[in-house]
Amino acid sequence: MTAEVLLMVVACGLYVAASGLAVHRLVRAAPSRGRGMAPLLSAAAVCLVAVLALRGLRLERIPAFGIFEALVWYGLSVTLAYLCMAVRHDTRGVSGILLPFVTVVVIGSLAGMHTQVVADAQIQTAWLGLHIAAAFVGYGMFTLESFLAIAYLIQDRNLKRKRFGRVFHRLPPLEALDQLMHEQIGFAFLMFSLSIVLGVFLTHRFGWGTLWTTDPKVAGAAATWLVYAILFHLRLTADRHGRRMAMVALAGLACVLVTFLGVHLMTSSIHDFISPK
Amino acid sequence: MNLSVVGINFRTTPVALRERLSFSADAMPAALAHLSRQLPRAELLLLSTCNRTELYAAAPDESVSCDLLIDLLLIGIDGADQALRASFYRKERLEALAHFITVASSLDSMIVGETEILGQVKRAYDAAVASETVGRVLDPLVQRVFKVAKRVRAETDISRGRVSVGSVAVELAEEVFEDLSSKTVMIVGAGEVGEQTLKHLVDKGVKEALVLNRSVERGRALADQYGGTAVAFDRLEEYLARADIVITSTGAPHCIIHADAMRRAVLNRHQRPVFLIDLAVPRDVEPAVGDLDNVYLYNIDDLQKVADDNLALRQASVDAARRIIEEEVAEAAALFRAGTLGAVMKRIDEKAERIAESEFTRAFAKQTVAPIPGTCDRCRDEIRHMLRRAMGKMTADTKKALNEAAREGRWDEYADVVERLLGLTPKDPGDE
Repeated sequence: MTAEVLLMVVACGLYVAASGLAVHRLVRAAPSRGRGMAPLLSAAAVCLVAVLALRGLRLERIPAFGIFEALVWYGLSVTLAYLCMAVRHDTRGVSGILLPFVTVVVIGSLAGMHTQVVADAQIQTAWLGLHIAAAFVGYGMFTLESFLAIAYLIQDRNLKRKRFGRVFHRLPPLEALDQLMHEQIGFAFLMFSLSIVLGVFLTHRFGWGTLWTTDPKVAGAAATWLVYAILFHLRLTADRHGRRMAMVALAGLACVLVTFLGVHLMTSSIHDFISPK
Repeated sequence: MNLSVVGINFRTTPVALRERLSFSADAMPAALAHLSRQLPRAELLLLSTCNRTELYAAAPDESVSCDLLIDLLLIGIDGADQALRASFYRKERLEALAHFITVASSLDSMIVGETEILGQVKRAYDAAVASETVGRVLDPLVQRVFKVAKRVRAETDISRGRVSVGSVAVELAEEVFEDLSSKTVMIVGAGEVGEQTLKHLVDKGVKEALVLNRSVERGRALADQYGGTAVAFDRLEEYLARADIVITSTGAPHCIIHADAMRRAVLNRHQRPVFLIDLAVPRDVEPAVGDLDNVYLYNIDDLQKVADDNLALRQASVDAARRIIEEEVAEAAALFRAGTLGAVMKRIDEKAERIAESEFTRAFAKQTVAPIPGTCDRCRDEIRHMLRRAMGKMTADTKKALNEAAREGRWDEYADVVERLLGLTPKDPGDE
């Protein structure tokens, strides 16, 4: 068993444990229980960083090609976005909704771990690294935004139906969730926009021409950008709040997932810059 | 060491009798001083709330009986008749300890899980500390009781959710808005429950209170009372967009807030959530308002149902709370026993030493030892030590048996037997 595999197995174990604690905290345990989740999650994030670093050193390229690396980056970026938010705010039970999803993503990535891919050496530049990093920061924060929206819609539904079970009491208040979403969208949209600008720049730099306009991943990213651009405008320019903003954020999650999983699993994209070995 | 509690509460005694045996904060020092004079060797804590009056006593022996405590409590009480005396409950040792924790954890309260009782126990303890009636036994015991009460609250749903209409409204407002201090509350009409709800919200520190009432004088009086602003009733729609929380409790025979007006208000609020509490019967808010996005409408029945559900949730947590209390009582009892064990051990040692010393003194006084040639001071000391060692060895097995009994949880029966067999008598007050 290589160090990469070992670290991935440890990371998956840590994610399962953190998810278990988070869900337990949300639905079953008393309010004071469930601590220790953040250290588990931090350790899992460290494992993922180590996996990517080892893989990059071994393959001598940026470790962001193929479904495995993409999903690890995605899981890592969502985790880091959540941890950054949890440090500054009382996120209470949101982790109970978010972490099972991240755990499935990270465990799911194992399926593609041994698919060896060869990346084009020509494109291994710092600009590409920046493009990828900005995109994943954006994807991570967008995903977090969408899960906050799910929590918002759960709270909205509970308040409308006048049902106040444990989940209601363990999730943050409605306005707090709205405020957290409001805070996420600005930086997330900025980073994702930067990623797109860098993508266009790289296209010109390497003379890839118009082939890119028909690439499904680019189309997915454009759709994602558009949805979040609408959300960005409504939230920060028109100062809109409430349920509809949460619905738009949820539509954004659908775009993120289609861009990520749909394109990788159902179609082929030149965006991967890869060929099977 | 014996812990006892005698008391009356809302279950055993009607308020007409309870009120005779109630001690205000001002009367507490005098009452404790009086009790302490009567029971100088006992540590005392007097808890008096609207629902209960209880006297806790930790005494070094059985001389402070429950009946004696009741007699002392009833001295000077008007109408201290047989009915009042008969309504007292009496608990001793572990039962008393378990009762104390149960009371502080709010399992014995009229509304299970209410949080006020812990503050009342703290005030009773502070009064006892000020009157110097708690010491090495009750002091750590009370600290333990506080710790358990906090654990019960943290680890169960016993205190979750409010159980009165006004406080439920505040709780729900807090679930909608994170911080009430930046919110505007508007009360329309001046019904009694509405006013109570407004009071709860003002106590939570809302930013602004607007009062709309058909009677301008009444509205102004209410606004003045709660530091709010009186607004003319016909400007209701204009102010709807400004209020984050709206309480209605008018006597109007028809709805005064309609869906169209509310829709406009929500649009003007940029879809920020608004919490409507309709306490009026007939209702003041059109039911269709509740279907609008970002509007959360609750009427009096909704709030009452939440209160009932919360109470049921608390009741469902009672078993879990009792399990925690059982665990903690067992642990606290071990500590309590350890303290008591130490005291008994000390008395055994003291008695052994007394016997050794008296035999030594007697022997020299009768000059059965002194005339022996060569009985120097060193020999006298050696004889004294020998006697002490012999007594120590004699009592060693007894002390070992007591320690083992304490570990096995059979401390009480052994302690009694040992005290009787060795003829251990409680210390005189002057010995302390």
